[in-house]
Amino acid sequence: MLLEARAIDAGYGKVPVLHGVALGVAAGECVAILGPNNAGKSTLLKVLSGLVGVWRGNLQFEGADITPDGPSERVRRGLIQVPEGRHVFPDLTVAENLIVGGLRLGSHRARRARLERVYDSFKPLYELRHRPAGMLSGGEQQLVAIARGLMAEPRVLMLDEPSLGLSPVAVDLVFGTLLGLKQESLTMIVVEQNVQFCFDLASRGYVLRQGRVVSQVEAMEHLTADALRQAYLG
Amino acid sequence: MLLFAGIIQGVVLGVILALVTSGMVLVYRATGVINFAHGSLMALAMYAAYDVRRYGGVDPLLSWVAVAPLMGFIGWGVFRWIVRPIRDRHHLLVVQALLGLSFVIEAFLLMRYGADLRSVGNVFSGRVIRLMGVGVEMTRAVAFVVSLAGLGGLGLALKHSDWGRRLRAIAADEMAAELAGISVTGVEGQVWCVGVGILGLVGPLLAGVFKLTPDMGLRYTILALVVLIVGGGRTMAATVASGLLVGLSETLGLLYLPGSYGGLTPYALLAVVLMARPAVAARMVRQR
Repeated sequence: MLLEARAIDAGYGKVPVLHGVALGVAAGECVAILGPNNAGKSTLLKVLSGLVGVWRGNLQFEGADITPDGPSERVRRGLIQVPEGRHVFPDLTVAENLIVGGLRLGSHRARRARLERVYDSFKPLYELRHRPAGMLSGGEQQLVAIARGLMAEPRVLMLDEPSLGLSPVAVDLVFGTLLGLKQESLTMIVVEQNVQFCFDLASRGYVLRQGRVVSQVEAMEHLTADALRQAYLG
Repeated sequence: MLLFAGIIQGVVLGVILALVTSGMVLVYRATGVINFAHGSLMALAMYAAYDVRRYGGVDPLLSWVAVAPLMGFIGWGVFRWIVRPIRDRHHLLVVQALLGLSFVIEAFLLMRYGADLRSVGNVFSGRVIRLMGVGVEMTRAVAFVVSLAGLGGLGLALKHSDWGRRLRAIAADEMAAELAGISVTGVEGQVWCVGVGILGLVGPLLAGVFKLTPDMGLRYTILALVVLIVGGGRTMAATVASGLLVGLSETLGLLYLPGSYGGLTPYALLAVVLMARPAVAARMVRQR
């Protein structure tokens, strides 16, 4: 396993959210995290990226124990999260947003090369590169957020609700982009309310409810409507 | 002619004020904290130049080489040991702690140097230079040039360096910055270091322009606060414009208003700005 969470307990302040969550992601696969609202899906991603600390259990990444590491150390290892609600830097231009994403690539040359590659796969962003990111539409901002994550040359890309609040056209655009990344066998973990979206993108899934993994879906294409309804409604 | 002389003097003062305030603006943008000890730290830097001159015989035009790093370290320390431990508590706690620090500095200066007015001469003392026909103290002119260069350098660094991009990123969105691999507290410490270190750069020069008294700190804190609020605390350009406005209002006020009422004009300006654009100040308080 590239990334593995073992028996994770975590929460905010004194409020527990996750109870004994275990999860594993192999290189090159796309894993979905499913479940109803407040199941702890976003918290799980934040635990993986280091925004939320682990109370008990541990995290392994490429064979190393990363449990005590903060977010910036995990970014340095290539564990990159695209936050829910996009969170682009609004006053920075699109290009500056991407450069900030690529700060972990030490040399300016590596960064410029990466920037060119990212522009190649995100052509619309190249046209918008001098605009402040706060002026873009929701879908464009989501592309900026994903592209910013890609600038760091992720080993694992984690996406929190990438289609949330987007127009249907923008959802298709984001979906197409992620499908392209999947075909390049980028390892991804996706939290998503839009079931169809998850269905078509992910090969495996974990169903979370009330902070516990209640079932695993080994092949998304075999997920029946009933099982799905059960996953979301309990 | 008098008006023209006033304008020149006001511009010189305004640019110096803008550089002094820029340190406060950087700190405010990166950490959301208004440094109520800013002026007192500047007083400290000025007295440090006095000591370096007195005991080391080093001219204030050179002593910034030692004073600026010292002030930078102090700024970093204030963040690390005073601001960071308490900033997640009630927001007035940081204000109280920094005001407290400013009184501690004032008491220290009073104990060490006494209440007498002091000044720190440099090689340019007593010399006057003509700027477009208006006589300006040479030291003041040097401080003006240094401030212009400092502001320009800061502006460029903010816009084009990785450090500037990191700072703007954490000012815009701390969580997203963290997820981009930026160590937020690390950058915040650097910003306090630079923001207060600037005082070590101009303080020694200004010690040859303004008279030193131990209780001067709070006055400069408030003057910088006026520049910060009038400018909105967002960009370098706005800070420069606001510094010019405040400098001009003070100089012209002293020229044209009777008695010492002129010294009040910056505060009157603040009152006008607050009445005309209360939303600006409210936003500054609400942020973070």
